[in-house]
Amino acid sequence: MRFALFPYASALLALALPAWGENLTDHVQTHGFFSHALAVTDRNQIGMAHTGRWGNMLTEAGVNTTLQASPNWLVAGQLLWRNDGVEPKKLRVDCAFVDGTLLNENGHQLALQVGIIKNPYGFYNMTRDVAHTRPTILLPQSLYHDQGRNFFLSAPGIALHGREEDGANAFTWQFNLLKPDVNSPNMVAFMVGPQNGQLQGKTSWLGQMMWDRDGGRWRGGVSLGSLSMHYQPNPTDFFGAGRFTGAGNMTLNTGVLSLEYNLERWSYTGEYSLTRQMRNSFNVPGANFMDRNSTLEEYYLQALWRFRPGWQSILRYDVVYVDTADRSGVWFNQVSGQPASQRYAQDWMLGLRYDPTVSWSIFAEVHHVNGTAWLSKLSNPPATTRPRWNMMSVQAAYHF
Amino acid sequence: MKVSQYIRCFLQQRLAQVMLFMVATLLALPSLAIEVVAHTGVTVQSLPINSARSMFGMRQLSWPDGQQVRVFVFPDRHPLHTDFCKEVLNMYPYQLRQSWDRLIYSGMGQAPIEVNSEEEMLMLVARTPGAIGYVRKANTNAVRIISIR
Repeated sequence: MRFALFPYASALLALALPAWGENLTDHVQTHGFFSHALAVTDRNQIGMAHTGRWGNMLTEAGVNTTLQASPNWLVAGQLLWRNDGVEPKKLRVDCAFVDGTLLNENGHQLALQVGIIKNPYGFYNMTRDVAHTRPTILLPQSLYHDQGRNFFLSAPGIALHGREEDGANAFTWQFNLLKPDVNSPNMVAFMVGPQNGQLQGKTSWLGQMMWDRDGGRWRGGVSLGSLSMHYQPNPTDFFGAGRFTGAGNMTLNTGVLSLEYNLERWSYTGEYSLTRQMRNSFNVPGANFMDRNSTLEEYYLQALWRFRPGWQSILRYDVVYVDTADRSGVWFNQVSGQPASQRYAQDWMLGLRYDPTVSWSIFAEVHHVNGTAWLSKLSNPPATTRPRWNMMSVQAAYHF
Repeated sequence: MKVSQYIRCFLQQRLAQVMLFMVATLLALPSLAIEVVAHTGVTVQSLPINSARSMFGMRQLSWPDGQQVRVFVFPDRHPLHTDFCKEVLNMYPYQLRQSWDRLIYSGMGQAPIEVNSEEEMLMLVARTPGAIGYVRKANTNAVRIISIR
């Protein structure tokens, strides 16, 4: 499916090339990025960073090429390599699409995009794997939890997007119809637990309306989506009950409110999300909670201070509750025997960033966390986790 | 000296100082101003500030006559770029950079073209159809000056 798109892109290029002749290079751009982060914790594990010992946390590298054939045609492709110490290391096509403008006049823009497309979700999702576009090494894990990242990554689909301008206000919107690429061991662990079955994405949608005023002094928006998937158990799942159980279905209906106020030296950002998780047909004997619907609540508030040219510091409070009807996780602990701390996380973060040049960024940050909701269950078997933990992390990032 | 004479003398001195300051400011203004320049083939004389923000933000890719916009800028930390962002666009350089990065690294758009001197800016804008850029002072007829309203 993914690579079937390339012949179409190639055909479009072949049709368009003669029109540009020797000026083609003026319309092509290539950009890239590389970053590496180390971390240390006092309890629990993140990436390959163990308790009391510095280790690799995250390595990301990518390269992209765009061809802006005319104001109305854009062809784009991006490759991404990522190693978080949990997911299998692999090169993925992060996007590969053709974008055609349908309307562009008097401040009204409308365009259609087809291919492997980026999904809009909150402020940061579109460039979540590009270190220098993030304010910190780790994005707020409440909304941008890396364990559930496959939901929100680019996926094969079609998007309609546009922009409306009215005086000082500009509205940018996008609606994506997609089939999320959710099958990964980490995602299975996040949604079902440490089992061996397969997840399969079903037709889903994500939409976003962003507003900015006075060139971005105020930015705000709403993101909405409904993401569906299907879990096919392995016979060994659920202590051997997998052979008797049905295939589970999960749908996440999600919404995010985003707001940001930007000044010369200060930026204040907050996002709030509610996600209704609907589950059925698991029918695992003795584990009714597998079919229990729940509502996730996620939010963060952050203040960023540019205190000297090239320097910034940031303070953030980031919260997630996996089930608003069981914020403390006590009920979950009683019915599953697993730690209550898996069901919440409150993270205080203090960070520092220095950009010695336009292309290089150095990050450092400390986290004080209560709860383990966003830690990988693959590298942190639930029985071994400790609810209160701290982490320190540093990162170097380069882009061109 | 009577008090009234003292006050009159003080006020006259102050008035002279204020007038001197105003004249100096007026003389200094032309050298501080930044001019938005475009290729001579561009037909518009002026742009609303929101259109200028969209063009320099790489979101508005064509002129009203359909010609492709080619954006030229100075590096992020160049004093002229900082002044341009603040005085012409009423934005901060980091906001433009974030806007460009969101487009570049999602594949949704391209970066503007960077130049390193006003001579290079004027030369490239003059010879690139659809070009838009900015300089401290455009003492040439090779480019069109566009007012931002």
